Amino acid sequence: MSAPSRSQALISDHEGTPAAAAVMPVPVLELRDVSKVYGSGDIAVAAVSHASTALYPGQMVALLGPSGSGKSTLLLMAGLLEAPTGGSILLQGRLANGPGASIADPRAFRRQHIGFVFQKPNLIPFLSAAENVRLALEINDVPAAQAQRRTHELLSYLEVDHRSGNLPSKLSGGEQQRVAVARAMANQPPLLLADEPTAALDSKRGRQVMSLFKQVARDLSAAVLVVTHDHRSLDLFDRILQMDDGHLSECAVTSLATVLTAPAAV
Amino acid sequence: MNLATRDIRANLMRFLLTGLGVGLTLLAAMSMTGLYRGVVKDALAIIDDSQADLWVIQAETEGPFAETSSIDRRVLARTLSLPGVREARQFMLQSLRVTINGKTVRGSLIGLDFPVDAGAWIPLVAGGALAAGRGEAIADESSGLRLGNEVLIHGTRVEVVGLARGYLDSSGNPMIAMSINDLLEIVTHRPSEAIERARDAGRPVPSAKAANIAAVMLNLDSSADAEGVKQAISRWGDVTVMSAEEQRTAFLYGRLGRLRGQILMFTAVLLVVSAVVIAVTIYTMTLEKRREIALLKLIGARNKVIVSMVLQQALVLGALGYAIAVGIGPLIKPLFPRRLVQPPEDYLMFAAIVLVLCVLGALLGIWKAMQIRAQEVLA
Repeated sequence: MSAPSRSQALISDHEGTPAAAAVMPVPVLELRDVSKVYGSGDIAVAAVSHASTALYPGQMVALLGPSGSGKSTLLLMAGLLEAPTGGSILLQGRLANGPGASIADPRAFRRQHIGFVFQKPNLIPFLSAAENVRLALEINDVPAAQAQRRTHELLSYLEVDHRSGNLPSKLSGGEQQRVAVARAMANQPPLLLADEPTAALDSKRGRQVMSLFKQVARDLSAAVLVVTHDHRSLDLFDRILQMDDGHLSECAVTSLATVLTAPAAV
Repeated sequence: MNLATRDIRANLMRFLLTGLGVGLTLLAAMSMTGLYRGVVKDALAIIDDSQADLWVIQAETEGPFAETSSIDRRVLARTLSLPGVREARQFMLQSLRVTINGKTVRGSLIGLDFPVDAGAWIPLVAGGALAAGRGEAIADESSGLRLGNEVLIHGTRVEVVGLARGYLDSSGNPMIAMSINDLLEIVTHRPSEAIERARDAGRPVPSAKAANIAAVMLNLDSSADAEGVKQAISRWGDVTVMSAEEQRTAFLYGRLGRLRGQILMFTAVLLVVSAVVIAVTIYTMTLEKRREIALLKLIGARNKVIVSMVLQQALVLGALGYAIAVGIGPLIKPLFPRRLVQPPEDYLMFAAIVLVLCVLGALLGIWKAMQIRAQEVLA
């Protein structure tokens, strides 16, 4: 699916209208004027200020920005791990925070609707590659036989099936990250959040993982939000968001070249 | 998928070593309890095994097990004249150092009123009870004596005709039983030099002094009024009378009171140490899995998955420690200089204690696990 334009994204803010619903699918993730302030009074720090955007099924979106710009805070809020201090977060059209929130149990929602991939694979060290994937399925009450089959399918899809019985310590960095992606995809979540997933990989492996996300976004119609510093793979993304001092902005396609050639800004 | 067993399997050696540490701590606590029970059993062996209903002892004392008791031998005849008394036996107890096979052994000599009391109640492992009024003895095997051995004690020679096991006094020293006449001879024996010196000084010859006994043990008719017999004896004035239960109490809370308190206190300290070791171990195990727990929360695992993992590991650790303690216990038991007594109910009690400690330790770990935030994975 092609990326919606900025104007299309803005239309989604008015999804309540029948006309809008007919034009656009419901965003998987929608931030409406979201802010996050840590502390209060003189020591208050605004990590995110009035951020708004929407991610649609099948989109792969990069989130760029210097260290301390609020990228990780935004990711935490999108993953229902931090509550915003202002604004609204909607996941699949359901309000996640504030009065009238329809997501009562964020952990249960994450279980079914959000997959996470990190800079480090964060595999459970005492579980084999297959068990790490199966765990995510079992946690979601998928019957054992089905979980087994799905695990096999995922590991085959990510070409690490031959290492399924190995503990993470026996896998290479790239293999571990593939297993982590398989785990994140296990329950076919509509939203995949990744925090610098290629930082620990060489350029070749890094691009492979980014390509994998692209493949996941396409094949599963999932929205993929990737915090990254890796400019070499930016061409794979449908959209690029930029964070600066807590302010979120969208890089126009025309400005992509600037981003790509200005690493100091990222 | 059982996360607890997967974790244990992947870190088996470390888990076994942790279990060994817990097991050895439990073993120390169990051994201490066994030691306590052993001391009590040794101390009460004669009171319990002799099956006397009443003990006639020196007035204003608590009997030969709590302090020195000395009564005239003629008390025996008086007790036999009382209605309701079926049997009366003289009893003597003397702590002595005895040279056995060139080695000096401290022990307690017991005087039995042969033939009324031939020592048939002593727990024998070889030989038999006394068959003659003189020159025979029953010895605990820890004395080093064996059947047929002869031993010279203060001029009196006795031959071992019965061998007992676990026949020890309250200090854990072996007991040697013989006829009261042999024991009287032993306690009144004086070297010839002592007699000469006494004569030279114009003092009475020591051995000529009439020896007393420590107590008279009474067994009553089944229809006898024990209280009535006690009151009748109490009126004599020169002696007092205690039931077997009173003797036990006087001994345990009197002479053995401090020792019991000491051992019990030490046992309590060891149990507290065990509790702390188990709790800290489980807490540490939980802290080591901080990242994994955060990850589980991040991917949406319910709390019961995490609680179950911590609790199961705590219980497996406790079970392993308990198995090690129970397994090693019998192997090292013979190395203890004092007897360890561990009845089945103690094993059950310790199993229950370990269960409680593990659950409490797990609660601490679970509390910590609940504090862990999912976003720690990203830290």
